[in-house]
Amino acid sequence: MSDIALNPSTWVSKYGNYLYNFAMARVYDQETAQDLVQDTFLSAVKAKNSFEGRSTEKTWLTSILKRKIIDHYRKSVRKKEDNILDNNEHFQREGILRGHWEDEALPNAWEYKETQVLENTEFYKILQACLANMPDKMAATFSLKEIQDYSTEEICKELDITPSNLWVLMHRAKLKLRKCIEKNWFAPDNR
Amino acid sequence: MNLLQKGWITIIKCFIVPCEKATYLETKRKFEKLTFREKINLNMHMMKCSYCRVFRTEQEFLSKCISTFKDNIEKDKLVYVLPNESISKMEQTIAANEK
Repeated sequence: MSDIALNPSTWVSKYGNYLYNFAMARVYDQETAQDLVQDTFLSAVKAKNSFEGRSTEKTWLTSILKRKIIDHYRKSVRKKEDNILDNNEHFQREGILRGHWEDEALPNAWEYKETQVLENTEFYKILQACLANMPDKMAATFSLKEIQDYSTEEICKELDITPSNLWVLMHRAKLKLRKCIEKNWFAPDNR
Repeated sequence: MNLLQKGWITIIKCFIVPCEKATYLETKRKFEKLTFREKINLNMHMMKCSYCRVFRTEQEFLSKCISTFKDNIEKDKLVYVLPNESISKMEQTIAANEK
C-alpha cells in the first residue's frame, strides 16, 4: 500500500495555480485552461481509488491534465477544417523572386537583452496571446510538438494529419509567431 | 550555351532553394534528420542569406523563451493566478464528488 494518501480538499489551494499555469503554457487560453483544470480535478476525485502512490499527488494530477490537454486538441481540430496550408503572407507568390521574403515580412534583427526578456512576465503574456491567435490546427501542432515534445507519429495520429502536413504547419506557426512577437513586443516602428 | 554549361546550371539549381524552403528546412531540422540534399540546400542558403540567418537566431531565442517559461512553472514562478470564482467552482466540484 502507498504511504501517500490523497487529500482532495487541499488540491485547489496546493496545486490549482500550478496546474492552471501548466495548462496555460499549453493551450494559451484562460477559459480553456480553467476548464481543463476543473475537469482534471473532477476526473481525479472520481478516480482517486486508482491512485497507487507510485508518484506524488502533484505528478499524478499533472499526468491527468496532460491527457486532458491532448484530448482538448483532438476535439478542437476535429471541429473545423481551416484551410491554412494555402495562405501564406510571408513569401512572394510569383515572379522571379517567388519563395523569397515579402518586403514587410523580412526578419529584422531584434534588439534585446536576453535576461531582461526571459525574466519579464509581460513578455510571456504576449507570447501566449500570439499563440492563442493562431488557427486551431496550427496552435495544436505547435503546442504538441514544440512545447510538449510529443513524437511526430503521436501527433499525426492524434490530430489526424500527415507528417508533411505537420512540418508545413510548424513552419507556418513559426513564421506567424515571429511576426506577431515582432509587432507586439519589439515593435520596430516605435523604436 | 553548350551541353556542359547546361549540365552545370542544372546541378547548381538542385542545390539552390528560396527562403521559404530554407526556413521550412530550418524548422524541420529541429526535430528530424535532414537528408543529404536538404542539408546542402539549407547550409548553402544560410551562407548567402542574412534574413534567414536572422530567422534562425530568432527561432532559437523563442524556443529558449518557451523552455524558460516551462521551467519557471516547474519552479513555481507562476505567471497566471486562478480567479476566485474559478477556485470556488473547483472546490465545490471536489467536495461534491469526494466521498
